[in-house]
Amino acid sequence: MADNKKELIKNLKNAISENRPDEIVEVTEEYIENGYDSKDAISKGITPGMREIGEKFDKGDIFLPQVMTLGDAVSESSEKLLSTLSEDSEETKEDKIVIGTIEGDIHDIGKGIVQMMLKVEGFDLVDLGRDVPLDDFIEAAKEHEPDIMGSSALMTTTRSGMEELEDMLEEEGLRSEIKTMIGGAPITEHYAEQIGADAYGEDAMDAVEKAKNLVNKNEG
Amino acid sequence: MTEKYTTRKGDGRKIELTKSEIREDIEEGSADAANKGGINELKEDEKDKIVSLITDPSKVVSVEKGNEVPFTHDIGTLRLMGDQGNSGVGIPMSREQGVKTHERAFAVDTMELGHIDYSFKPAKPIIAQEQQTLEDILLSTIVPIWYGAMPNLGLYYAPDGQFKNPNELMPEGKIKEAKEAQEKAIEQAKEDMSYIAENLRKVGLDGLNIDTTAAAGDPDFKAVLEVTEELKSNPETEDLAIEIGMAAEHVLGMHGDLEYNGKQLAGIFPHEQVEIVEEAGGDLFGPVCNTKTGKSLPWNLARAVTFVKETSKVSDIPIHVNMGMGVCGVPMFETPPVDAVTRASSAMVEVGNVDGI
Repeated sequence: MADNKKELIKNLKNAISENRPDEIVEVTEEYIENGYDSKDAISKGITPGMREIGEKFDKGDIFLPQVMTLGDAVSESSEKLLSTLSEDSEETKEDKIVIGTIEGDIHDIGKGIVQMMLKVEGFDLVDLGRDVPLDDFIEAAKEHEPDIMGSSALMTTTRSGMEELEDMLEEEGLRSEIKTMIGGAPITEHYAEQIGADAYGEDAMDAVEKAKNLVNKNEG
Repeated sequence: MTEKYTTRKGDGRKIELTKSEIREDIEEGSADAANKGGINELKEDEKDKIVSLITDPSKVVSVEKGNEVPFTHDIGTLRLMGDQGNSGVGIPMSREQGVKTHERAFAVDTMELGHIDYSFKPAKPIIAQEQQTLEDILLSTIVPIWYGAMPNLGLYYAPDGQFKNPNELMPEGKIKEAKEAQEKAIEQAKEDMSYIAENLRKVGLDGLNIDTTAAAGDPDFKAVLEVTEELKSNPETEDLAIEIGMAAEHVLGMHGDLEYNGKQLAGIFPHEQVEIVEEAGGDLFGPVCNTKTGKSLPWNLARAVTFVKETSKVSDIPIHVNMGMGVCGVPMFETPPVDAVTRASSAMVEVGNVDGI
C-alpha cells in the first residue's frame, strides 16, 4: 500500500513536471479513491512538480500556453485533494488571508499553489483572483478584515501595484491591522523591504512559513 | 594607473573598461551562452582575439586580408529611403536606384528588394507592382537579387487579420482556441509566401529572404519551414535560393507544442534552429543573438559569437549572420556606432566562422 501511494505521488509529480496535463487529474482521482492523505499528494507531488515547471519556464524550456494548460489541470487536481481535507481543516481555520494577483497581471499559477498550501496549513483563504484592481483589495480588506493580505505579480510592469497597495492600505487606516506579504517572479526580499511589505515569499513553501510567522503560528 | 579602453554598453553608450574588465566580461558572456545553449564556451585564444578587437585603438576595425566574406543587406532599400524612424536616412530615391546604390556604391555582394511594409501579406495585393520593379532591377544590375519580407504572423490575427488573436484568447484561458487560431494562421501565411515566391520567380527572382522568422513564435517558424519545403519540391520554385533569417536567438513558444519532423520548435537556439532549417531545404541561415542593453559590448559579443560559432560548426549550409541594431553584439541603438559594428562583424567572421554577413 505504501509503495502504491509513493508510486502515485511520483506519477503525479512527473505528470506535472513532464507536461502531461491529461494524466494529472486521472492520477489524483486514483490517489483519492485509495484513501491516501491528500496533504502528502500536495506537498510531495504537486509542489515539487510545479517547482520543476517553474524552473523550466525560467529556462525557456516550457512556455506560457503549456503552463496555463498545466495550471488548469493542477487547479482541478488541487480542488479535488482539498475537498477531502475540508472537514478536518474547518476547525483549525482561524487566520484569514486575502490573496490576489495585481491589476494588469493575469498570471496566477504561482498564487494558486501558494493558496493551496496555505489552505492545507489551515488558513482561511479569500481568493480575489487575478488581474485584481487595487480598489478591490481595499474593499476586501474592509469586508473580510484579514490577518494577512497577499499579492503576487509576474511582471516588473505590474509589481509597482504592490507599492501602491501599501500606500492605499495606509491611507485607509488599515495597514496597522493587516500584515502584507508579496511574491512572484520579479519580486525580491529587497523589493519587499523597499516598499514596506511585511514578508516576501520566495516560493510556495517559503510563503507558507512566512505567513505562519506573521500570525505567530510557528510559535510554541 | 591601469589603462582604460573606450567601448560600449549594449544600448550604445560609451563606457571605459580596463583590459581585465573586458576579459572578465568576455568570460561571462561566453559562459552565459554556453549555459543557456548547452554548448562549449569559446577557447582561450578566441577570447584573446575578441579582447584584441575590443582594445584595438582604431575607430574602425576589419578582418585580416583573405578573410573577407560576402556582404548583403536585408530590409531592402529602406535603409536609404526610410524617413519614419525605420532605420532609414531619408534620401528620396526609387527602389531601383536604392538597389543600384547598394551594388555600385556600397559594393554589396547580393542585394534585396523589399516593400515598405516588409511583410509577405501586404505584398500579395501589389504583386504586379513588385514584379515590375523586380524586373527593372534584374535588367540593370549584376548582383543576385533577393525578395525580402517577414512572415509576420501577427498580421493574420485580429484586428489586422482574419483569425482570432491568441494574445487575447490566452488571458481568457482559451488555450485551445488560441492554438487553433495560430494553426490557421500558419496555413494562410504559407499560402501567401508561396504566392509571392512563385510570382516573383516567374520574373527571374534569384532568392527569397524570409526575414525575422519566428518573430511571432513557433507558429511563425513552422510556417516558414513548411513553405520552404513546399517551394523546394515545386518545379516552379525549386531553384529559388531561400534564406531563413531569424528574429531572435530563442524561438518563443507562443503555441508551445508545434513540431517539425518530430522536433519541438519552441525553445530552440541558433545551433538547433539551423539543423531544422537544413532539413526543410533552406539554402542560407541567418542566426540572431539578442543584445542585452545593460551589458557591455565585450559581454554581448562574446555571448553572440559563442552561439554563432556553434551554429557554424554544426551547419552544412552557409551561415550569414544578422549584424543589425540590437543583435549579435551590435548595440541596440537606431544608428549603431561604427566602432561597435565593425568589431562585432570582425569577431563573427574570425571567431564565429560565419560565411557571410
